[in-house]
Amino acid sequence: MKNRSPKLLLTILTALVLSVNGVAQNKVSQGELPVYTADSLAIGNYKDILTSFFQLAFNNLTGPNKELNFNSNPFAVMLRGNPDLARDVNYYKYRALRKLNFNFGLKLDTSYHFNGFSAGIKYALINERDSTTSKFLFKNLQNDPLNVEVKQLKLKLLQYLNSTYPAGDPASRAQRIAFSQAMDSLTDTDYTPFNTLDTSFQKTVVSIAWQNNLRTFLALVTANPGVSIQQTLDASFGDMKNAIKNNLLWTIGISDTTYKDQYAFSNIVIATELSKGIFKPKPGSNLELNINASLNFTDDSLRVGRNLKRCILYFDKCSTQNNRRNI
Amino acid sequence: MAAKKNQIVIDLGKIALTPVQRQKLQNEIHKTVAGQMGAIDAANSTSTPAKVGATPAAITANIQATFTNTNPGVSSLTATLNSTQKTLSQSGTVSFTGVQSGDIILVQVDSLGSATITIDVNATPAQMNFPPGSHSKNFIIN
Repeated sequence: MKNRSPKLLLTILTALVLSVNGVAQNKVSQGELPVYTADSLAIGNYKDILTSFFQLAFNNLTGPNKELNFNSNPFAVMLRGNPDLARDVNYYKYRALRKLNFNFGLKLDTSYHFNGFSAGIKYALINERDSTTSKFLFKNLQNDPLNVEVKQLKLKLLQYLNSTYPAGDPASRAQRIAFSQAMDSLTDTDYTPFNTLDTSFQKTVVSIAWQNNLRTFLALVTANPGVSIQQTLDASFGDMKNAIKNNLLWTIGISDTTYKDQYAFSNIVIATELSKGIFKPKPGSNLELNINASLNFTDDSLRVGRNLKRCILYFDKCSTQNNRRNI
Repeated sequence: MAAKKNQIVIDLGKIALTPVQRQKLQNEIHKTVAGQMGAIDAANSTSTPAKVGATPAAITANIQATFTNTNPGVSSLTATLNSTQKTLSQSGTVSFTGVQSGDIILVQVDSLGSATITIDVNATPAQMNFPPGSHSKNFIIN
């Protein structure tokens, strides 16, 4: 058992490492599935505190105490086996699992022999940074002035289309379809510039915008006729998502480390971490307040034998200037 | 029923058959009749071929929305046909009756997750895929 277990752990870790590439490829190929990359999930400390994907780290590879750590989220693992879990009803159903992280690590000595094992779980008590579930973010998205006006404009364009080129009139069918396609191009994800749309369509759009007092839209296309409406909407949504990265994140977790010669705990840590952005985050730079507290149960060497009788309370409050982009 | 011309009527009750012979005869009759019925069914099915790509004069169109990687309630879909609007706030289906060829259904989506919108009648496009954010597009009924 003593010899087999490290091999078993190595096998599991290898399988998980191989699955990481597989997941990324599957997500891209299936299109509708989310593309979970570390950068798409979070920036800065957020990824260090809580991950929604897989994090694999090789620490101190050339040193005497090598470590191989794997950190993941049970929902991400389940999603790999059942893509239907991404559907909104299931996404909500498994919200507790989405807030949970687990990790385990393998310590090796210079000869790559087993030198200890560590494992832990972490749960997000408060996570206001999740841009997939934030009601605040959704409200902002719906109330975005340009989004509101573009929606109104599209409805007016549909009314104009139905009155100018009636569906029952075979003679105007081609014009009807052309106008509908131009409406699509106005907000397509290819980011078609406004001034490259059909000239008469542009005039119709501007005319309808004037009639309905759509000031934000008019200001945008007047100031920059080559603007893409959809690109502007997407950029605005990106800013909104970035803004909630400043919100509160509070986690609690427990982790343990074993002795190098057997699977008995040498150390148990109960830790909590709170993170809150101070200023508006910018790409690659963020100032955050971090408060860490932990209760560490470890071996009391004054007592005979191995035990966990020594207790250390640790508290740390710091503000960090985070200028890095994680892997 | 009176016997018709060119028809032989055999009263099985008056023929001395063993149970095995009687069962065998009944099986053969069933097999023959089933074969004839199968041929009739096949003929019926080929006599009225389905009209591929044709849209009836007025039909019901069902638009199905599937939102992924988000919670219910932080997505919205508004589908507009003429002056009729239908909305959804989570994955589901909206229906429009009296849809005709040439009709245009405007779909407007706000979602924190990805959205896949499909329609069950012959339309262009047949499916829309949107990333998170605000998007809109038209279904043209063919």
